Amino acid sequence: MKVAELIRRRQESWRELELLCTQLGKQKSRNPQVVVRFTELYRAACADLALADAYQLPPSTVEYLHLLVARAHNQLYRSKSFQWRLFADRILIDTPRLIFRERCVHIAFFLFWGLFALAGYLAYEQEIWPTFAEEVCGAQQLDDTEKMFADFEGRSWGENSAMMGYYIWNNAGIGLRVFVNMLLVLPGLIELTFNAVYLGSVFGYMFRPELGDSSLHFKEFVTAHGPFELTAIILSAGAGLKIGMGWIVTKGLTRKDSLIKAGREGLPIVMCAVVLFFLAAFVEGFISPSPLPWWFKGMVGALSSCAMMFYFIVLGYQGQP
Amino acid sequence: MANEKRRVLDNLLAVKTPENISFQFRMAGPFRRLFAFLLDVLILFAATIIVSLVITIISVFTAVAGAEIASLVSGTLSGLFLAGLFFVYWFYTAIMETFWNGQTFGKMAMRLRTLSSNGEAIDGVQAFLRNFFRLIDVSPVVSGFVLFGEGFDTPGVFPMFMFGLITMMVSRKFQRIGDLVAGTIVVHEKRNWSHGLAKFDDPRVPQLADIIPHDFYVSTDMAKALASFVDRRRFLPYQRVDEIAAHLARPILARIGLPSDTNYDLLLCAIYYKTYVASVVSEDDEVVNAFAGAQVSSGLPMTGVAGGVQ
Repeated sequence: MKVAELIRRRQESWRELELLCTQLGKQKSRNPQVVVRFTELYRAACADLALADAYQLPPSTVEYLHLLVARAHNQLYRSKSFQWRLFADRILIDTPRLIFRERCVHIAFFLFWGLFALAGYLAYEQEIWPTFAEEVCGAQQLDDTEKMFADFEGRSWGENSAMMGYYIWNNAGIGLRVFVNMLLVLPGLIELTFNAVYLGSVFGYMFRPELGDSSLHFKEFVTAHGPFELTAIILSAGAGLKIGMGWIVTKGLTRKDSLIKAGREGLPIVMCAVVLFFLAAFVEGFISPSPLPWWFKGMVGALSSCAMMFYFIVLGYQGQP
Repeated sequence: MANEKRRVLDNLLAVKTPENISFQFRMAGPFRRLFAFLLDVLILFAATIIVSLVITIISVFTAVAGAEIASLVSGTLSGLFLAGLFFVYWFYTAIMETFWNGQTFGKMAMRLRTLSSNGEAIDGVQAFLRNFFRLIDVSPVVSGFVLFGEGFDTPGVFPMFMFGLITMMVSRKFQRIGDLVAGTIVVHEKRNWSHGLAKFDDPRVPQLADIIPHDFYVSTDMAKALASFVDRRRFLPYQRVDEIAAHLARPILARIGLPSDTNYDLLLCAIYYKTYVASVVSEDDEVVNAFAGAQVSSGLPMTGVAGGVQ
């Protein structure tokens, strides 16, 4: 047997394998006979490659075989599609437990609420630091916010849906940005701190009794969607912090492996945050600005808080050692 | 050892498959990937413009039917548009890579594919992670004001891709930050392959091959060098070819006792011809048959054969 003869004999099945790669890449439903033929040819090509060195095939042929086998390998071992059963298990069992136990989420929770409450108190109480709110947000910004809520009369359906889209785009975007920036820890912490202090100051300022109607409208507006939105910010920051700590505190793994592990565990948390941002945007778009009575909006806020407590605490506490 | 060095130099990644053979992927560098990314951005940009045009046109037409309906329709549409924009901006590449086996449109055009760093296909978690962290890879983001001077007043900022570029240069597998977090690599799938043997029109090649003594031994390394030479010689001027061939041809001529004014290029071609086209690989028919396709229809487990030779 000569090398030339050998190549000539095998070329036919290599060509067929190439053809099948292209075909299988395009087809949605795959014919079982074609798949069986494909795997046969793939195994044969693998064997050819394994024996290539022993038979002194020229380098160009060997390279061709590497490419062919790689291509067929990618066609055979494809990305796994979602399995819904597993997915449901993940959402209802694994994720709440993970979040309940996650130290980084706890840190983000206390950091955010601590700063939020502190800033809120300083902005509301005007004796300790009278210009606090103005210094944080700028007098112009506070004025605008106050005016916006002073003559707030509700919106039309069209405006509502447009605003809902805007809230999704803007707020969920901020959440994901906090998450990503947390990888480098410091920028993320700065962004979280800024958001906590800024929001706290706006809340404190708007709760001042002398603002009258404006304050009332503000309270009415934020009650319904507040719980979802603030929790979502905390979750995305916590997930990011986890990944950021992943490459700093490695717990015996290599830095890279530790980072990958933290990433895989952090993703469900941030996806949970995205879902909360969506719920918040929906409530903020359609319920918050509606002329519905205040007790109804309060109910929405209370119910959403209860639902989240059930998810994060009741479902999360199960399976504790 | 030499193989390992070549692998690092050529950016190859060796993958061991369940079929127990090892093959190589060529890892994609930053510039090919940048073009794939820009192509994706262009596609999304075009789609965004088309959709917003359609929304504008619909809004204009509904304005005829009355202001109230117009505000309802345009408001609802722009709400959906913004929600859609969020999805596309944050999830387009992740969803494409999850369901299209590691490829987006841009990657398909540039023949790239995302894989796990062990060579397997990626899963959804990896696809989402690596695409979220693109936000860091494209930073720092600089305003046009800084880039083009005071006169530049178009709003907008420009990503500088510095973080991604630097981590790609530092990491051995061209991984950007998103790739490091997700544990993925991007490989280049070439298609235009040549796999046959070189053909010679010159009748002197087989003639000279006959003159070469039968006991002249061609080692594996020499066979490889000859093949690389023959593959490349078509692209070089003949003086250069001669110069390169001389290094190997002169000692061979001295050894096998041919006149030293034999054309060097011709001699190497003849040895190539003798090695690959004319000479017998193995007397052992059994092994040759295993190679030459006996396994195609049998479905035998190949592990024994493949493992033995490696």
